[in-house]
Amino acid sequence: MKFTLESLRPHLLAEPPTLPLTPARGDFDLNPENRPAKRPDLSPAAVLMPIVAREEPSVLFTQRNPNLKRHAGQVSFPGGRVEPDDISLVQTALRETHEETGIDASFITVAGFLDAYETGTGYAVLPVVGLLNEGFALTPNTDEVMEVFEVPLAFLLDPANRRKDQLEWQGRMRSFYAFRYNGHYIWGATAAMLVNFSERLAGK
Amino acid sequence: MSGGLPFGLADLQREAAAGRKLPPVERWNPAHCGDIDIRIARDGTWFHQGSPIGRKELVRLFSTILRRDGDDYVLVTPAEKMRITVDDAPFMAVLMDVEGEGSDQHLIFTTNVGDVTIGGPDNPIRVVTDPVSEEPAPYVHVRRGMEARIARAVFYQLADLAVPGDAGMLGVWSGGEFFPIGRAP
Repeated sequence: MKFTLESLRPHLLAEPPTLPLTPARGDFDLNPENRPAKRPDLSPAAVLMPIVAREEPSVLFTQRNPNLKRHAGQVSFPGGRVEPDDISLVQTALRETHEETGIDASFITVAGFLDAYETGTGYAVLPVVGLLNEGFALTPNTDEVMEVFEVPLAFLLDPANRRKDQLEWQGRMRSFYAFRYNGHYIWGATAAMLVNFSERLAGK
Repeated sequence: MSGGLPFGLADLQREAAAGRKLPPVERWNPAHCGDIDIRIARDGTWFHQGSPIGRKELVRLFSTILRRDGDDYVLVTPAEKMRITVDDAPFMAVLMDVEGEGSDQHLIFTTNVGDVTIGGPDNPIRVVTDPVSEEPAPYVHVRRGMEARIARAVFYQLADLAVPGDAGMLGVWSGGEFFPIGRAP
């Protein structure tokens, strides 16, 4: 399976949404009973879903440093909050990718967008889907990122590898999507974005 | 963006790196004209061949050689003039600082690409209301006929500063001028 810009684009949103983001998806989709009556003001953020354009395409993830204040030790896409001097959400995603992994933006061609996603922690996250061309250099910022790793896209798109897990958090059971691959546990918002991506590719 | 710069911008890039001075685009009248597949979307994101450009330096550089020629928007260098597509306004005002008050108030807008513009007689603020949705679309002039669309959060900030004016209008003061932004409820 070879992914090209042309094959990806019809499945993605072509236009970035204007701020403020009003996410169509979020952590509360699987936990409607925990959804607050009134949506709080969400902090805008953007992540990059980097599809490495190899013969067998893969998706690149970061394992966050366990000492971080936010989302410590979790598997994520590179990305973060919108800074005041960012020119666009796309640039936020590429800037954060460069800061966290060292990957230069010139290796990335943005194909489009997934649905904005509301996290239970108060972020509105725009997932930016980009093709990452081979030849990029990884120089992870170890303060933020412990490890950068790839998972074959075919594995992530196979519904048999997707699970719905539960855990108790702040006294309530929470459900979330999760993938296990090679000792890595990909769950929560990152997993939900992968589900969104595979549903879009399947035309759902 | 893949494939490098669409035309010879190396000199300009060096100049831009040396300091943020706007090139004298109004003096350039290159013989060679054409179209280039660059588009500025409604939210201010620049696209090249259908892909958003995520490199800030490149977008900033392009924004400095953007010029409005009548209804067209063009990127100009001394050698070439390329027409691009602008869906709404070429810039997005993402920050607003307020100095002074009353009729001495100055509203200082910063755009997504780092331009600063102060509302006043030379840089009017205007609000267009969609006749169907009644959704307001606010703009502020930046330079040479080019405007920034005022981001939603900044418009809320603007609305908080609104005071009554003539004929039942609410508006804001900036640079000694009163700009109506909506009808008083």
